[in-house]
Amino acid sequence: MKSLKLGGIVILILCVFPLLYLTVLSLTTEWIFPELLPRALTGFHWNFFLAGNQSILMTLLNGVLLSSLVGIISMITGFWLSYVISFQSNRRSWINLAYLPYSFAPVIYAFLLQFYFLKAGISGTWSGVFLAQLLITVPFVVILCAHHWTTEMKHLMECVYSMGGSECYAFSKVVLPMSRPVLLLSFAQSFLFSWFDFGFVSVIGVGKTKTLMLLLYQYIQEANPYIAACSALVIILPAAIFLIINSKLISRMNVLTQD
Amino acid sequence: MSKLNCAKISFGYDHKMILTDLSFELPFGKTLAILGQSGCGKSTLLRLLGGFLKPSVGQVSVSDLDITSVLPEHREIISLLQTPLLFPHYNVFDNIGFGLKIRKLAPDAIKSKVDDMLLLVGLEGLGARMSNEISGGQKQRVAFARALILSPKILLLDEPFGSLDAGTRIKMQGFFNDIKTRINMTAVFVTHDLKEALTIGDLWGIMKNGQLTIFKDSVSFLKHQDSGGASEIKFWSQYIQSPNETI
Repeated sequence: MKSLKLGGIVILILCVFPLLYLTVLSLTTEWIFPELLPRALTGFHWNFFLAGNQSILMTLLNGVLLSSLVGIISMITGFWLSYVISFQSNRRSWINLAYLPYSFAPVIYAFLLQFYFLKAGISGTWSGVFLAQLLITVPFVVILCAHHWTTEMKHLMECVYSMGGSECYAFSKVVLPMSRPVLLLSFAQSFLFSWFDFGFVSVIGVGKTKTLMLLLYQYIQEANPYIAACSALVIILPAAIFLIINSKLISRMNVLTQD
Repeated sequence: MSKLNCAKISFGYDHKMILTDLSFELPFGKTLAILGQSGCGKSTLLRLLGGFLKPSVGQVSVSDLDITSVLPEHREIISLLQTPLLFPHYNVFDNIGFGLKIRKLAPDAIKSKVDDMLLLVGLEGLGARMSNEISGGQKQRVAFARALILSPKILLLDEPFGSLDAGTRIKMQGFFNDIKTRINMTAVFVTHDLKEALTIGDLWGIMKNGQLTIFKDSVSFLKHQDSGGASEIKFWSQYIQSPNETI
């Protein structure tokens, strides 16, 4: 019992320490080795990061817009595709195909796609990055939702048909309300992929489409740890919120499966 | 409710025949109990009647109207499965009234009909409960009520009491027989339990290798080797030494 408590404290420290360190780093201007604590805390970097530099704010908004759109489109498209695939006789082959993008490292996959994106004239554009991210997130949602289309779900839909309801009615009144956890999970996971993506944004976006992740690397390369800490904290914030929602949704889906 | 007619129905896929040249006529208000082992084609027959599969050859008609190509949503034939599938996000009341909402009935009319149905199936006072707050037998009653409230032309039952314990199963068989007489229900009831088939049916059928043999009386049904009646009698007779002795 005592060792469990100790283990819990160690895990908590390991989780909290990086966040605490980043927060302190973002609130100081001079923190030089071997000093254990910074001399003074100031909001200077935050002021510069959030209000002093228009391009950072635009990058932040661009990232939110890109990730939200990737999340929404992946959720809708992936859910619909998984429905179409799941009741086909060659369902297994389609789902195996959805795993294909994950057989490459994202950067290698991005380089493979780059040729086609250059041909299509969308390399280095916002829409190119958006499309490239969808190529990864939509198959992910297909895989995630494929297990949702059980025989029970099929029978419930058939039950609606036999009572005189159309496919559209079955979807709106039965399927969608029952699929809320998996839909939210799909959105959250796709959003997080896009939010943390570096490979596709840097390769397909060729530095023209900026996201906070790209900016973070830029600050690290420029040896500007204070602004990098600000940007890292902003990156972590929505991810932390989504991770909490995700864990709740996963536990809710597990409860539904056990029922 | 209506009479059901199947004429020379065959169905198969991947060069394999599941049902072969199947014909029967089920009069209005009667129940056909079909007995057969797993994989003999019983459930396929029900899916064909429900409109979820289309026969390769043959015709299905209800009250002399050909419905072979009619979509499930326009057939007015409702199926009940072994697992009582209730909509988990609705309570008992909304589950029963679901079909009436599809038919766009006024809320007052829905309430009155659902209340009557709750009374009929013995679930009065349970309308607000969610599906995970009621027992297996009660779930099956809700599924019954949800089907019956729409006055379907035909009711298809695929081993509906198969997942219930022995006691509840007997109660549900009694409940089914009671409802059947009260509303003159035309039904096809699939089971693999001989006693259940005898209790429920007015006509009997034995399905084997995709072929259906129909019996109009219980004695000839029981005597048929594939009904399992003979082996059942032989089994019980070894425990009864003389005609006067009971267990």
